[in-house]
Amino acid sequence: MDPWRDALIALGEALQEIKYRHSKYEITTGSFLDLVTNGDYDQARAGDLPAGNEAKIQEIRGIKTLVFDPENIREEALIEAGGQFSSAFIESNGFSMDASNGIATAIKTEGSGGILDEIFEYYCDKIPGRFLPVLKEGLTLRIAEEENNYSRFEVQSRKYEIASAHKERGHDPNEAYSLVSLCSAGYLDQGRLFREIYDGYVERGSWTEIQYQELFEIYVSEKPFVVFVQADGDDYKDIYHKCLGKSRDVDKYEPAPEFIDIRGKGDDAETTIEKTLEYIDEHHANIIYDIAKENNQNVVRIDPNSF
Amino acid sequence: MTAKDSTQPSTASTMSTELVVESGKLEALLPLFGAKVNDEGYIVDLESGEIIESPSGDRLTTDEVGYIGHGSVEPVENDISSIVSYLSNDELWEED
Repeated sequence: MDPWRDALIALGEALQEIKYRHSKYEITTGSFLDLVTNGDYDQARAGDLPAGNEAKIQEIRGIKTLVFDPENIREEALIEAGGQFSSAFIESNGFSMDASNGIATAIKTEGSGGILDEIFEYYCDKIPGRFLPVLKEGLTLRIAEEENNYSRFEVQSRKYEIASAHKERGHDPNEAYSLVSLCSAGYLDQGRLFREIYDGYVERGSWTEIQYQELFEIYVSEKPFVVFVQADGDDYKDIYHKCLGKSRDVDKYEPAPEFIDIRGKGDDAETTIEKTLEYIDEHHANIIYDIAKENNQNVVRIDPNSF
Repeated sequence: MTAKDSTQPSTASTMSTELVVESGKLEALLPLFGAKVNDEGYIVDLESGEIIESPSGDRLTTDEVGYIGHGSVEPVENDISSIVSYLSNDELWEED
């Protein structure tokens, strides 16, 4: 079932018939109907095209898109296909505006049987309730960012919206910022830190659900296992001192973090991380660490006991 | 006991064709769904002319909308929390 594609095909058929009625010749290859029926596209977009141009297929933000301009399409054809568009509107529960840049697609795609659903369903009865909207929004942002190549500004803007909404519900916006960053970095995924702790301490251990919730709150607010490098403004010595401080504090936590990650996205963050590592190498002869690339983030994993 | 971590984050999957509308083309499409844009730029019901408010009670222009939901036409703000809460079937967003 593909409601919007069906609506576009209905529009193409209406156009075909109207044009045939007016000019009495068959229009096939390259026609609107041909494009919507046989074209290779993953998304449909109502957008601006040159005068007289009804539709074309192009790549927009890395997505093969059928762009159609309703202002270049005969109104009688739109009216004739109106029933099919109305059905698609109902079956798809509406449509996205370009400005929201993939947010609705992310929640509709992955929020039912996808990765967002999997992660959210795992934590929905394990963490304090106030975090659940933030978790869902943070996971949505992660998917939308990956699929649509968000700029740094857009990511920051959406994080601000999530934190603001959390604050409006009466909670600390800083914990929302933290949880969104942790979601993005994958620490809540299968096989990752928060699930390992639940498996080890609750499933196989003697912890209660309340104890896990308390651990979750502390880990989210204090992030004892990770230092996030901001793209602008972080000085490598500041990052070094944060890492050093966290490594010395690991035993204050139960469980004690087994690693300290340094993470950052983009060229500026990469440069800061390189300088931080040079500084660490100069001052800590026995330091042990690994370097990796995960989802466009540079990740250094340090053994805190080797600091 | 210590806290371990491993493997990389998972990735997303696909679905049927999604429709995305640029704000400049919304006015041309809204009549297909029982709405239109009035002289002030707000989204209104096609028959009654009454302004259709967002789930949070705001009046939105075509530039401020992030999602158009069905029921009949429900404009949702271009805000990630508003869009995710609108498309979710749970009551997570009610204040404690």
